[in-house]
Amino acid sequence: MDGAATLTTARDPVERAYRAQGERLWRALVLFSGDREIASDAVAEAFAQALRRGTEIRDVEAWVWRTGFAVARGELKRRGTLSPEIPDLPQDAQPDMIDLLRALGRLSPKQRGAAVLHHYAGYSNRETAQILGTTAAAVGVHLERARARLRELLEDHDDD
Amino acid sequence: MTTDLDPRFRRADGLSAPDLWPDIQHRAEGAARGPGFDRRRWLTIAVAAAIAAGAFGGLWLAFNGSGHTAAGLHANGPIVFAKNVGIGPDGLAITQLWARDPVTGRTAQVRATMGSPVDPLTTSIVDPAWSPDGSKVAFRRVDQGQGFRGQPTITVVRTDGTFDRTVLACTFACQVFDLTWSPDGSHLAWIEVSAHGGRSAIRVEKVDGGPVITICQNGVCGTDLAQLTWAPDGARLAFSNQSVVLAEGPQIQQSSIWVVAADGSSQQRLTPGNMCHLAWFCTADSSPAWSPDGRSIAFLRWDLGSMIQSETLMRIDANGSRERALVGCRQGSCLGAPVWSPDGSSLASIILGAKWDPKVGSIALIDPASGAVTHRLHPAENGGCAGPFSPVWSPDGKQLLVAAHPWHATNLCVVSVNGVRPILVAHDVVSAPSQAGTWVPPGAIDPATGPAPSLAPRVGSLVARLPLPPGKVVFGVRRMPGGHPRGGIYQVQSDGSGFGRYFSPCVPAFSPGATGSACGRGSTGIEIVLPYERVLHVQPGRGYYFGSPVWSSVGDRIAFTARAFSGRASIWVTNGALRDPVRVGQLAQDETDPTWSPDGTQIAARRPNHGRTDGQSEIDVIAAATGDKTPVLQVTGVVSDLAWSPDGQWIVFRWDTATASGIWLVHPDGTGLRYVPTPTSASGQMAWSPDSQYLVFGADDANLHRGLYAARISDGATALIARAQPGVDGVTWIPGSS
Repeated sequence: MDGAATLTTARDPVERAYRAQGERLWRALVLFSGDREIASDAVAEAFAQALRRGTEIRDVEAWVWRTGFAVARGELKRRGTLSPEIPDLPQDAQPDMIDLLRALGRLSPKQRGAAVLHHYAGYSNRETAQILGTTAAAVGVHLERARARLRELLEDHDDD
Repeated sequence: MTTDLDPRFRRADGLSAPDLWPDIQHRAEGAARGPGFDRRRWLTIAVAAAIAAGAFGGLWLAFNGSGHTAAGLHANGPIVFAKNVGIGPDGLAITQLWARDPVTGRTAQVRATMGSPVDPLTTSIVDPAWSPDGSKVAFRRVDQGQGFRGQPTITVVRTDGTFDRTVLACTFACQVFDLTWSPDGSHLAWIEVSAHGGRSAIRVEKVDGGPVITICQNGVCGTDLAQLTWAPDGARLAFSNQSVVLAEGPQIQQSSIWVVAADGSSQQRLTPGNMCHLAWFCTADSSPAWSPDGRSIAFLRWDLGSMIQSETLMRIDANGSRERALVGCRQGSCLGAPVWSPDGSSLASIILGAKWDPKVGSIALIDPASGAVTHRLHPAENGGCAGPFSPVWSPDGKQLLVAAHPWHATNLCVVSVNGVRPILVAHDVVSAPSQAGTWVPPGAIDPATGPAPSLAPRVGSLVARLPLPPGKVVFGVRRMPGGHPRGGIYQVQSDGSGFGRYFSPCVPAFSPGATGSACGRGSTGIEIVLPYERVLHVQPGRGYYFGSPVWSSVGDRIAFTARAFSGRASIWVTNGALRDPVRVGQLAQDETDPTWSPDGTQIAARRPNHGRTDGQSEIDVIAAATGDKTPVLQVTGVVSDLAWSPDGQWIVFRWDTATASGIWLVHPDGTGLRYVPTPTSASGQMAWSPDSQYLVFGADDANLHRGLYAARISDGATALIARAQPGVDGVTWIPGSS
């Protein structure tokens, strides 16, 4: 019953974090992966592991963002879907959203992660670096390149 | 062209995120069980589910085939249950069949992979019983309150939404209880209680038809048979005879556990069920539960003879030998009916807390060999799961499905044996005595689509429909909780989904043809709801309490009462656009409860004497255009419930004095006052026939039997036209009918 006891202890802060951050993290992961199922699995897995670890985690929110992105990144790598096209567009995505997802799909994973965490989630370069497991300087570089590429891709589309 | 990236990213907020919390809990629970948890497997399931929506059952099988399931047990499939979602056109509850996806935790209306949703107007399901394979559900139809006078039927529907068959429960007046499927799903069994003398018997019938076997008739197995349950091999049935439900007084009789063959060939009383007349040394046995191997039966024994009544969980071999006590408590009725875990290693029993408070109930897991309580589970950790009863084990033996009764409705919850917080699955479910839902095999039902659950009023009567945009039905409901009228306008999609309150919570007055409604909203005015969701608010001034809106016969104006905070009331009328109301008459006249003449030129109103039967009441007719008033009648006592006949010739009203009360008619010019003969008490609402030839009303006769009566206006003859149940009210004529 040790596992169960850990779950009981950990439930409240993790559930609070899920209610506060779950949807936002899920949307960020949809942008990052282009696949709602990967996003759902990554969010569920991150929070489930947080539940199991209980009091080992001091900052639940930061932890689930880092873990969620790690899970999604691993799954994209496993699938080998680093192609320019996003494999599975959300069904309720609006045309603008689809354009953005397609454009994000043409970025490298690091550029995509930096762009999503900065422009959607509102994290600073330092926070983004902590989530992606890199340095703030590297995030700055990826972000600049992502912006340039996105503007190019989205302008191209707007001109169509 | 400059691209602003932030707004583009923020559009992602429009993506609707799923509720993953149930899935998170499931994953955490799986991880807590041991090192077998494999994230990759979950990922595989999730991705595959997207590709093959609707086939989650097979995926669940694949998942559980990987080592998570205890040896010898089965994987958990969907949880199925019946749920009240609204009020039907007949005023009864709309009940739908629902299921909970074991992977995502999502609950939705049952839809078969190849079929249509079960008829959403399958009204008032009572005691639903699901077949073991999940393909069918049997239930009693509500007998409209006829009690023993009715001939109940058992309806079987397939979960693909199609009707299967109706089983005529008995050829005489009776009631049906404990409807239950045989373990192989081939037979249905139930207990019938005769209206004549209360004798009960067991009936067994093949599900696909065939002769009905009657067992234990004519009191062979005692009286008051109850708690019928099939043996795992399907060859035997156990039950108790529940005569002992009174803890005091001389009526105590025997109550024992019986086993009979399903073909009726043998009956055996397993426990003695001591007869006692003085409440000494007598016991009452109840709630038999077969062990999964069919070799023993657990049951509850209530000791009525000791100074402090006690209850004991007992166990006996199915052949009647080796009776032994497992665990007891000394608070009287403190243990709930036992339920064996699928592997036979544990018994679950509800334990009521101090002072028998049902909201403090916990679930005890008991070792069936030693009687030791190995776990105490507390469903009330989730407030919606307090007050548990009727537990059902999951096939993998890791969870319990329990009904909960924390407030006024019955909820359905999942309680895990390892302490994970209870999960509230659904509100307002329909529970049978032994279960409020159950697990069915993986893949049996696809709950992948369908509307989300919603709360709904549980009692009420339909007063009208309000047609609105295509696909939506809006209707008013008058509820009588505790005898106090409340109500409101509710909406539901034409497929039965999306039930919920529509605008204001009041008893609405519907326009002719029910294309609009009006509600008094107290000091804020009159709220008028018109087709296509247009809403008007009428408030002629402050300092009044507005109410009693009534529509003119063509629906172009509304008259209503404005009562000043000082206490006096006056009648106001809107213009033809349902706006700009003007007062007709003077505030000092204290007129109230307007009713329109059929031609819309006049309004009848009453001047009350505030409930004093020794004072003077007055009926006036007021010209709607000018406010000119014509006194019609002045009487001693209280007049109320004015209604103008459709031909404009009569005004009917109720007249109560200190010594008598009755229904009376008077012409609008004050002539022709006459009494309408009624039975003892005519307290119900009155309704004119469209041709003004009859007046229909509810009344009680000298024996207090409720009936619906019609009075013929031409000669005053009154006749009973239908028997009705106590409290029947709200009589109305179907437009265009006679």
